[in-house]
Parts: sequence; C-alpha cells; structure tokens
Amino acid sequence: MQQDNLTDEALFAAYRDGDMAAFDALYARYRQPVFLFLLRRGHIHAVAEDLFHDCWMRVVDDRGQFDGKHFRGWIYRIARNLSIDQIRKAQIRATDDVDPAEASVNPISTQRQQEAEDCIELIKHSIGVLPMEQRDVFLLHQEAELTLQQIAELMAVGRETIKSRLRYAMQQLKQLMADCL
Amino acid sequence: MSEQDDLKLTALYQKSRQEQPSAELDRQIHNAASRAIYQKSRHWLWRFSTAAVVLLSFSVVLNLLVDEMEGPETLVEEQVLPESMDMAQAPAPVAEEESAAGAPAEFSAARRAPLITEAPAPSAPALAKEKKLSAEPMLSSRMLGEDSAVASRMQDATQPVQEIPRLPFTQAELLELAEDLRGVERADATINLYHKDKLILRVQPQADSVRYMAWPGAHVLGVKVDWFYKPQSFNRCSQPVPYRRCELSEQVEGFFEGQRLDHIRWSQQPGE
Repeated sequence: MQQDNLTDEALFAAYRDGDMAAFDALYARYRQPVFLFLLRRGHIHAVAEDLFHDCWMRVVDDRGQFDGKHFRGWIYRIARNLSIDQIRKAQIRATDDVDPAEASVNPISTQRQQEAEDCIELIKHSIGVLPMEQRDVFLLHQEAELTLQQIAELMAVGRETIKSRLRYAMQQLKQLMADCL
Repeated sequence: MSEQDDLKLTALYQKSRQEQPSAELDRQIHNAASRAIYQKSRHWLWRFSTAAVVLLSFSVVLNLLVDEMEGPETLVEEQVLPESMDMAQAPAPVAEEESAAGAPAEFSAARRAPLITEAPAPSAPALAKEKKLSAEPMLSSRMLGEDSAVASRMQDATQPVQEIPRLPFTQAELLELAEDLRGVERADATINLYHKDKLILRVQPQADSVRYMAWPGAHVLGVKVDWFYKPQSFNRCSQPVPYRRCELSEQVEGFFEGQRLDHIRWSQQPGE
C-alpha cells in the first residue's frame, strides 16, 4: 500500500485532516508494540487492554497538541504515563525498589523460573522481575525500538543513565535466562 | 555476557511477542477515532454557523440602534397640488389648520381654508422602510467619513437655497413680476400663479403670515432653487406622507417626492 511508505508523522497528519485509512495504517503499526509495552510493564491482560484503549483515545483527543515531530516517542510517552498513573491508583507494589543484585536471587523469580514451561514464558516473567526503571528502558529499547537518546528524552534523564540501566537490565535478564541462552 | 547472548536474548524476546489486543478493542478504537474526526468537521460547521448568526444579529442590533438615534419626525405633511394639476381640478380643503379669526385684514373678506391636513399614519411596514431611508444620511456621514458628494451636499444644506426674495402677496403685484404670468385666486384666498400655464407659485394667507410654495419654474420670480436636491442631502427629514419634508434652511422647507425635490415652502410676514 502507498501508506506503508509514509512516515508516522505523515499518517497522523493525514488522519488529522480526516483520513481514516491513515489512522488504520498507523494503528496497525503500533497496535501490538504498544499493547505489549503495557503488558510487559506489569499489568494483567485486562488492565493492559484498558490502558491501551485509553492511550489511543488520548492520541485521538490530543491530536491537535501533537507537535508533528516524533509520533513514536509521543505515543509511548502517553502509554507510559497512563501506566504509571494506573500503578499509583491501584497501589501496585512496584519492584523498582528492589536491588538488582537481590533480584537475581529473588526466591519468587527463581520459583517462577523453575515453573516456567519454556524459555518464552521465562523471559516474560524475567522482565517482570526487573526494577521498573530498567524494565522501562529495556521495553522502550526492545519493543518501542527507541534509541538511547530518545529514551533519555522520554524519561527525562541523561543518556548515560539510560545506557547504564539498559546494561543492568540485560545483565540481569541473562542471569535469569542462563539456562535458555 | 557476550554479544551473542544479547542477540539470543533479543531473539527470545521477539518470540515472546505473541499477545495482542482483542478485535473488539480494535473496533472500538477505530470507531472512536472515526467519530472524533466526524465531530471535528461538524464542529467546524457549528462554529461557522454560530459566527454567521452572531454577525447577523450584530448587524440587526446596530441598524436598530442607528435608527433609534436618528429618531423619526412628526408625520404631518401638507397636502399640495401637483404642478400639473389645474385649478379646476384642485381638491376642496379637507381640514382647517388654524382659525381664520386671526387672519390679516386683506384676507379676512374671503373664507379661508388652508390646505393643511394631517396625513394618515403610515402602515408599520411603510414606517420601517422609511425609517431605514431616513437613517441613510447619518450612516453616510459616520461610516463614509463624509468624503463623498453626500458630504458636500450636507455642507450645502446649511445654505441650500439662495436667499428667497421677498414676494408680494396680492395677485396684481405678483403678475407684474414677469411676463406670461397668469393668476388664479380661489375662494379661500389662495392665489395660484402660472407661468406659461405651468404652476410655479402658490400664495396662502395664514393667521399672521403668508405662506409661499414654489415649483420649478419659479426662477422667473427670482426664486432660484437647486431642484436636483435629494432628501439624502439633508439631516432633518420627515416621513414621506406623501412627501418627505426636509429643512433646506432655517426658513425654507423642501418637499421631496421620492428622490426628486417637488416644491419648496416658506413663510413671510405681511409687514416685512
């Protein structure tokens, strides 16, 4: 399709001008990545769907506020903020206060590792074990395919900090996934 | 912790990417996005309609305010004879404006019945139409900056006619003013003066004055008027029932039939 060649920003601009086909194309690009980002961030499936819905509604409602520069960063920023709000509201106990060193020997994660049917399930659980800041960086890098600089801007921290968090996240995942690697 | 492990980890993560939002959720989001765009177009239409209504309302209110500031004048007009109407066709007087008791001695012998009548009140639509017409000069001066020909007319309106010469009020003296004059004195002491069978002057005795009415052609008597005056050139004009009466100067009134000055009127004290 011709729209496959258009950038995200061009598609979103076309949608703002009333082109629903452009929206559908844009939605197809971000449908699964955004949903998985929310799911892997720690929400159960039903909550992730609610947040996913809210995220797209925010995209639609705030379409006039989009500066037209970087749609990918914009939609993940919305998704992340919604997720943070949801966690606060539900008083979900985040794991970002867990020391990475302790996390690798977390008895729960070890138990999950033993119970994991295969490596696919194991990596899902392992990501959930990561501290929230590291988890965010890992997901934004792997799922959203954002650069370190873009992640740094989205999370409002320095690029070196992001780089460090990503390194810690990968190290921990490798430890947890040692049997699968 | 080799780079190869990084690649394996990434590959494992990619394999784990299986979950998807439900088709029902897809449909809901699509519909919501479509609805938002549709509402946007309707919102634009609504804004346009609202702006049009507000603008129209403002125009109407402004027009009404201008009309109110202008203020209509009394709807009293004088029944006059058209210049083409002969004396034989002249209508009988319909109402007395003032008592003949105070008439000057030279007119007291005749029964006096001035041709002054109160015109019937115009209908509401006619009033509205004429109110708008009477507001035109004010609109011109305010909104056009008085830079048009109308403005010069307005300036001339302070002295719209040359000074009216003092005219005699007896038929004999009037006939001596020019050649080809013919006078007809009616039973009510009104004198009609014709020049080449064309009515140019009417003299009506009043209680304490003499009223003169002049039509085009009265220049032979020295009464020179710009007969191309239009009512828009003057500020103070009444409703046209049937003539629009405008003050051409402090002493002279002009009677317009439509856009054309039909005749003028002024008064003169007999003793002056």
